[in-house]
Amino acid sequence: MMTEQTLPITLTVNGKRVAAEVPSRLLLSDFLRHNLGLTGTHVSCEIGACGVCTVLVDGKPVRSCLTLAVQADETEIESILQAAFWRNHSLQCGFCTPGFLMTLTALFRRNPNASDDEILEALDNVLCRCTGYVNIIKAAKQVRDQLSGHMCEQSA
Amino acid sequence: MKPPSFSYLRPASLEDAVVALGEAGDDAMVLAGGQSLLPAMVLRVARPPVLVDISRLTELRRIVIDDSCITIGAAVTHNEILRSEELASAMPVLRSAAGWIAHYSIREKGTFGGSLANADPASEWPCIAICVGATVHVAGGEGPKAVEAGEFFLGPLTSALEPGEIITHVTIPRLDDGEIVVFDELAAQHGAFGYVLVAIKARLARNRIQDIRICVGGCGGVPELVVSDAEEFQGAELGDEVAAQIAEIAIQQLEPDGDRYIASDDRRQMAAELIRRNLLKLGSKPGQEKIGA
Repeated sequence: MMTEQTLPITLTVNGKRVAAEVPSRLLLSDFLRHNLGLTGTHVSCEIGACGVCTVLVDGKPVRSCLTLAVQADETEIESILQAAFWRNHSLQCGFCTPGFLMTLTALFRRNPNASDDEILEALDNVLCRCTGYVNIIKAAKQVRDQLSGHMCEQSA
Repeated sequence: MKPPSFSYLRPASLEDAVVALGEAGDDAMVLAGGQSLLPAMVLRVARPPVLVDISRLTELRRIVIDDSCITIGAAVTHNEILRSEELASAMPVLRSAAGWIAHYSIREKGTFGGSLANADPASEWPCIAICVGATVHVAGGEGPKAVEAGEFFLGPLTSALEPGEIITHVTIPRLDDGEIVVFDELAAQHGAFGYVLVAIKARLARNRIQDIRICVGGCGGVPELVVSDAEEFQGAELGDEVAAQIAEIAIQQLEPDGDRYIASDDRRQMAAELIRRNLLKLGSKPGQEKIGA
């Protein structure tokens, strides 16, 4: 049996500096949930199929179950803190919602004017087994319209 | 559902990575994006005692385009390829094919070199690399070497990489005037593993075939170059009949295994249909873009 290797990591999580000593095999998803208590990030399939555990690493959406905590050394992590899908009834059980919100955050930061097709493509990043996606797509388009409307006002 | 224990190394340069991998022994593995390796470790199918993380090595993250070739670093991610305007204008199929790979957040971490090293016969880059005549450049082991993509894939999840070797970059010859490359895939749903993948490189003059290469993925242990010269079809006008003929000839070389979902011959027929459709597309919309973030 191999002795467990641990390594020091330093990173920023939701704006706070965090330093920790972690086993090399520790997944980023488990580091956020177990070590930091940030249980807003949900873990579902644990093999990268569903996208529910999506967080942003240096602004890019990644599956935190397919990322080692040691790989997040010297990065900036943003994880889910609150949900805003309520208005469109875009969540039923709510389990996958964090993955959707992080994915949309990354998409709209990159392109606040994302087309309907680009929104659809981005949303296939996450597996939802309740809603049938219709209300999630509706909410995403509404957010896009707000963002791009806002952008137009600013540029006018 | 957690990976087994391993030692993690993150060397600061390619040189250090080669040394680290050489010292770590035959079972050590290179960690790039980890989007295939980590699921394999979580499922305990792979148990490398040492992982050498190359994902941050700037030497492996370059995209360079010169007059004769396109160079893509091994650690360039699928989304970086998808977003590169330079690549999209030099070879549009690179963007359209990247859009087929998995999902948004997997494409953010998964790498071009990793996909080649993983040698999955149903993944996009191996099929395209063979079709466009790419060369895979490797460091470590007995010294730097260059392997033609057509000789790089030896079987399912098996490549010509020896222990201690790392893919550094891939070179792809620039397209000549009149040459186009298209890629297409049949999958149960977008982002799922493809049943059949087809890449076609062709040169047409007034819709007559001058040159053609067709590579099919997902129909055997490695992507198969089923048509590699135009001799048989030289000068033929590309229409419904010729496209169907080429497709029929192409699939004669395929012997895909049947599985519980798709019988062997059905898979061949899917390949034929995909080839036929894409041959007909050649004249109209080269490098048609897929939507991707």
